[in-house]
Amino acid sequence: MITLPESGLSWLLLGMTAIVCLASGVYGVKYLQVEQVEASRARWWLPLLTVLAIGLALVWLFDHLVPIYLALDTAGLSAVLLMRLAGTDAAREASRRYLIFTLSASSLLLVGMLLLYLEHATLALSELDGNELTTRGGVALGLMLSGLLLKAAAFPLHGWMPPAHGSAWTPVSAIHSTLVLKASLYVAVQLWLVLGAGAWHAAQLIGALGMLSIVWGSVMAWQQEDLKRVVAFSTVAQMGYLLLFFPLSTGTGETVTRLAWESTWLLALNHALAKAAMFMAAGNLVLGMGRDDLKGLSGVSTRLPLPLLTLGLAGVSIMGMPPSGGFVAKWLLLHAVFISGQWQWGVALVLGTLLSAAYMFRLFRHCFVDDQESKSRYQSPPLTLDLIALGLALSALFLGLLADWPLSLLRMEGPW
Amino acid sequence: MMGWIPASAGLAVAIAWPLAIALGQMGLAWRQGTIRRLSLSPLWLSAPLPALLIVFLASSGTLEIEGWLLGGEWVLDGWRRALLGFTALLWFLSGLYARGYLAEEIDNAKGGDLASGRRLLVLLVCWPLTLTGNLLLIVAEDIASFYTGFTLMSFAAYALVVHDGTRESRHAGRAYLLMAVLGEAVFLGGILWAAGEAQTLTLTGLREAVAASPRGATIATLLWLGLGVKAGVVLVHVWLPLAHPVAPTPASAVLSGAMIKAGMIGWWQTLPLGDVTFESLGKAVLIAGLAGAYLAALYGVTQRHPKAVLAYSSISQMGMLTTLFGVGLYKPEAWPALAPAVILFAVHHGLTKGALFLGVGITEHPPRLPSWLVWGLLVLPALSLSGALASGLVSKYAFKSALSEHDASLIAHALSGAAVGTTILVARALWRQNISWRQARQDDVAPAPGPMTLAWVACVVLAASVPWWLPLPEGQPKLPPVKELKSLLWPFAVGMLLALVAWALSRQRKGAELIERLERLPAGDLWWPYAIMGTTIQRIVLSAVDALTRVYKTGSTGLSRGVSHTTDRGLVFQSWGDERLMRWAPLIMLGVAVGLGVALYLW
Amino acid sequence: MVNLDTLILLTALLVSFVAAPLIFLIPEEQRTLRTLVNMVAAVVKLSLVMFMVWGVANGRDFALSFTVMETVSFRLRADALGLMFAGLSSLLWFCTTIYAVGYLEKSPNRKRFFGFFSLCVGSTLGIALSANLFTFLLFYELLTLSTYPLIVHRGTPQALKAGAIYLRYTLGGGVVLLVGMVSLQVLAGDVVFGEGQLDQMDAEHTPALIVTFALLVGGLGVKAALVPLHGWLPQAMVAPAPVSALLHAVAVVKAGAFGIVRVIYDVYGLGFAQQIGVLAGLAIIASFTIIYGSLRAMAQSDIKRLLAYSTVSQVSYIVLGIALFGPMGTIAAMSHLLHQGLMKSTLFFCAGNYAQELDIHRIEELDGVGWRMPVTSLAFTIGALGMIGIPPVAGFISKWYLGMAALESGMTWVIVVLMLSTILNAAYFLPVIYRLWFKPAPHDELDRWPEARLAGGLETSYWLMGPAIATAVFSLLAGMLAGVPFSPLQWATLIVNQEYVP
Repeated sequence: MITLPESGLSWLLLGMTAIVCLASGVYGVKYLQVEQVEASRARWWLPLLTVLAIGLALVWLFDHLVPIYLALDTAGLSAVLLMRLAGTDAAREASRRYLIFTLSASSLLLVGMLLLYLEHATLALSELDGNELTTRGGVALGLMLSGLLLKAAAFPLHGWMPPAHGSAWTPVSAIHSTLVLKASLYVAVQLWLVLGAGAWHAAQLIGALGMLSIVWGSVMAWQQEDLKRVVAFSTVAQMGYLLLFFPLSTGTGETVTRLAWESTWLLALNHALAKAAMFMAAGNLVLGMGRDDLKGLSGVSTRLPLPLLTLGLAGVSIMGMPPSGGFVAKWLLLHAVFISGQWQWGVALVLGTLLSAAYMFRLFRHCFVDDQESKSRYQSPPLTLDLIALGLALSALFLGLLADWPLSLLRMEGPW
Repeated sequence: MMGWIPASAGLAVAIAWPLAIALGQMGLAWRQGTIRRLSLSPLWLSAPLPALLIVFLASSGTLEIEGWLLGGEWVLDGWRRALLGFTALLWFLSGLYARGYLAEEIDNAKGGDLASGRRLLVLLVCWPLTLTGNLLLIVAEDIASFYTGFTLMSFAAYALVVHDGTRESRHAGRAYLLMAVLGEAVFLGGILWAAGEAQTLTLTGLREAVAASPRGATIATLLWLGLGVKAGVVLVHVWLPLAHPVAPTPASAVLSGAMIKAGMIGWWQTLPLGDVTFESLGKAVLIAGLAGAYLAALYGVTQRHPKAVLAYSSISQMGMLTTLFGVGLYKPEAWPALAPAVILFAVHHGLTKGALFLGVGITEHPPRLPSWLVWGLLVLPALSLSGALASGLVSKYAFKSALSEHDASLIAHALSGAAVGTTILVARALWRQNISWRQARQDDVAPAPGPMTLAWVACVVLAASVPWWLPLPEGQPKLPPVKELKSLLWPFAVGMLLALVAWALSRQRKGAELIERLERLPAGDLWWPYAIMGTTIQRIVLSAVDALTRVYKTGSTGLSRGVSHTTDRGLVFQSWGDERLMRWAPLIMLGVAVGLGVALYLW
Repeated sequence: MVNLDTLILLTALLVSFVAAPLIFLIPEEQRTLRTLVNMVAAVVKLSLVMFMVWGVANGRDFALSFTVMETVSFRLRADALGLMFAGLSSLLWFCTTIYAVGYLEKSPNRKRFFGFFSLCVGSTLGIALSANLFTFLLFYELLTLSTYPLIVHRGTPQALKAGAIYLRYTLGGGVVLLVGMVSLQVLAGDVVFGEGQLDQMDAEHTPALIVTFALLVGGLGVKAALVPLHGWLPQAMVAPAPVSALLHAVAVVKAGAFGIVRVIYDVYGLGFAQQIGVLAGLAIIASFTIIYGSLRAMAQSDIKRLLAYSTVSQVSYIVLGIALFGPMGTIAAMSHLLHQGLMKSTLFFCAGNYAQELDIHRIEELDGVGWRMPVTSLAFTIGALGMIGIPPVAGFISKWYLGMAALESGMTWVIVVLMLSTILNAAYFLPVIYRLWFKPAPHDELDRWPEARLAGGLETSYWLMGPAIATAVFSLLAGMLAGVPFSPLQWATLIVNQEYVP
């Protein structure tokens, strides 16, 4: 059942998981020391991280829905536990809600799988491929996709995510937003490619949800007063871009599908690196400032230049400004939009870029206010934390120039 | 003697020397930090000398400077030699005169008066700069150099006009600058158009382009009008009677004698004279010239200040010159005969007008010379200007005979009529000068310093004898035969008669009242209505731009306000909505599932 | 693949990108070290660019490319046109850096300032040397990002507002540009500059190409401050003087204008752009901008705002030059790119000197200042006269070639625009010069300017005076010696002869 992946995508995602988990692992160890978390909670960090990483790796590798389902839930549940470890009331509340939501989503998945099995007598993806979509299959697909969309925090099912990311430990937020959400999306894409090809209306619907995610998430991010919540809502917006894959790959022909495929996964990679860096940088700033609101940022530019720089670089990638991977991905996406003639996604893209600039610069703006009165005591976070974040941010930033390498992996095999 | 100096080297030095003096003056002032050692030193005075020297000592030839602007080409040839000669001489004499004229101010400055020091410094720097421009525009053969010289002269001369720093001089300076900029812009339009038509860089090419272009008349009009500002063509002359009187007397002399010829030189250089017929333009130029010649005389006699009278006389004289150019445009075949006369007339007027202006300063500070000598020297250039004697008589004969040869005696007569006006004008100027002379004698004003008197005397003598010492392109001019004298001298006689009548009138009470009322007419005539018109236009344009800007601003702020208004509402709704979304997520998920199911069913 | 020439190209580009993090790392107090890093970077960059100028004139090829996407490459190449812009920006960067060191003496956050300053110029060089639209956009956006911190540097509410407006305009423009570029990519593939073959496309694509052109020029027009996209420029003048110089003369506005040059010459091709009729429209917009900018400048009372509107007007000369298709217009546009840079940075340096030394910000405070700061005022006078187009300052050369181009392309009405703009430029610059030299200083002169003297001595620090003098002398020489090899005019002529004359 486990096959060594032939598709470059799996390799790419495996690599991405390895990098982010490794970086977060090291970061987390140091972070817990600095935060002086008591050992009873801190000792769970690495074991749970390992379980989560294994779960994710299995999602990328399996070809059968049942183990995929199990791996996905393993990763999800360990994420719940990790979120709980933060120990605050807010974290407990958020993780409780996440648990309920993710379980209800899982139940939809289960029902969907059951229906699918009844219809096709198999749950192996390769065997499902090529079957006509029947009514029962359609219902199954609908149930499973909506469950997965909830897990991927797509609008309007994203509500659980920002509180969870805002309250969890920084490395947990980083891992969760970059990897766990994408695992659900990955599964949804796999399912879609196998079953949904040709379902034009449903694809448009998902695309519309993606578009709304972009706008809703960005505007929400623009309103937040807390640093980590800005970052969390920006994830909603970023997930929206990835959903545009569905309409652009359905009934549009090989060239567009190919471009959409490349851009989606490049964007995912860019987001993984940049968002992890961003969470870490934000965490470092919060550590350094001793507070979490944006107003505290005035004066960081002299006192905490390195985390701020990291935040800035990561922000460049999130906005999709050159030379980041996000820029190249948007270029490809726009290219796909132009050829397919589905202009509405182009509008979403343009709007999303401008809105992301709006919330990122609203954040940076505070850094330039030289507010001498801010009395917060600044203490520099350890250099290790800064350097890990900076490394991730830089790799996202230069991903654009080096995009040929991941793109050539992605071109190895795909849905065309 | 000619040929002792190679033309190229001579030209380079002639232009570079005054420029170097200006820059040196600047550097000196900056380094010293004071003006204590500043005065009109012999070195400073020498600025126009190289130019004067090459007129007599250099061979004809060309200097090509590849790197300069668009490619420099400076030429010394027959007619340029004449113009360069009188220009350099007048500048030199005026400089010498200034040394005496400004003696008091120099003393003040040396005594530590900051304001005098600054004014003096500006003059000391801008004087040679203006000179550079004036010389450059004469020798230039490439368009860029010509334009450079022209603008350099125009802008630097501003400092000469406003030197006094009084309200009048600042106002005159404004008028001067405004008209100069307008003229420059129109002229620029003309040369760009002409040069663009033929993609040429030289003035010769420019003339050919204007001649060949189907829109040559339009281009020629632009050129004529743009340069006309400098030459005091009627309607655009308004700055001239304001600026010439307020400038310090030596500056007035170069303004009215030398710089006013820049416009004429420009016409000479850019209009295809003697080549093609521009009928309507030629007529217009002719009429404008004659109108200027007569009207300026008419208005000029009302002025009280002798320098204002002389300024109007300049407009009148330039009007005569303009008329000759009109003939050249209208009747190209007459031009070859007319051209030497034009040059002679320009040279004669330049030096003579200079001498007259310098004389004004002399009557204000009577030198220790016998009165008969002083008045003899004052009257000599006046007679010459009105064409009764010396260079005036010769030049008048020259263009009259040229005109008669090509059946334009009508114009010759008209110009003779204008000479009546000139006679009255100079008489009026001398009359006003006599008053100030007496006043000065009464007040026992300090006599003019030596350099001042010397410069004036030299200028008077050289002006009267200019046809005999200046190398003119066509050689020495012919003296008028005796039988022609009657036709040449009647305007002078009539003018004198009229002047006597006027003088007699002023003795009567009624006549004196009339004269007094007339004397209230301000210098600058049309400037005043122009100024009102200009202000109105400016106000209209600026308020139109303001309105446009307001539309643009209202548009953009309205847009952003509208957006932010909608956003504000949206944001309130959104925060509310996001909260609900979180609470009802599982239900919404079911809704999404149903929606997807339906969409899938729809295929 | 990697040979010496490629290495030189890369070093020239990377020098400022390396300098930036170094500067960020140097502690705030170590002024000397920071200045040293700055200066070394500036000198290295300038000399490498000069070497490339020499090399390209002698037929060497500096190029680098690698694939980013299947169909799109990252391409750098030093061609004559790019080097012209590169030369300008690195020369002026050198001057501006010196100036900035003097200007920001003792002010806070210098480290941040110089770091972003370096990035800014690095991006400009990237823009100059990029060889396709993708690479161009990459550096173009980078420029937007790195200028923002400079504009809001002071952190005052005004500065923050200006920064917000700047971003609104430029990021909006950037996105429009991105859409335009992708659209072009879809229509014509990856167009390497100078190898565009749009004229050989089917006629059915023409409408799409026109729309794409509008998108591209619209996006670039924001930075080039074409009316009505100019709104950010007068606001941005709240930034410190060296930044204004950078915005107006060295980098930002020029990047927009340069981009338009690239799009028209190297992507669409002059002939093709003329054929589809987009140039006439551009000429009208540019002319309107020239007149409107001047008229607005007349209404200003703040020195830097006046200069800002003057930039709006002047940069459109470049666009106008291109729109007057033809070799003469090209020469006008290219040489004005440099001339305007030199003259405008002179003016901003001088305005900065007045602000720094005498705390003068408004025009009516300039009465008699010429006597307190003669050298600065002389430099200002030269710059202003150049802007009016008075020879022998460089501005005249541009105006001359614009006139020639107008006739060459048969758009005689442009002559009228030139005449009007001469008058208007004079109308707002001459009063300033008048105040400097001829208006008597206020009575309390001695109290206001304690060291007032007729002339002489050092009016302000060397750091501030040097660059102003240098750029003023350059703008004078660029006009006076326009015929000398390697002058802006000659280099522009070389470009035209090499690349655009069939």
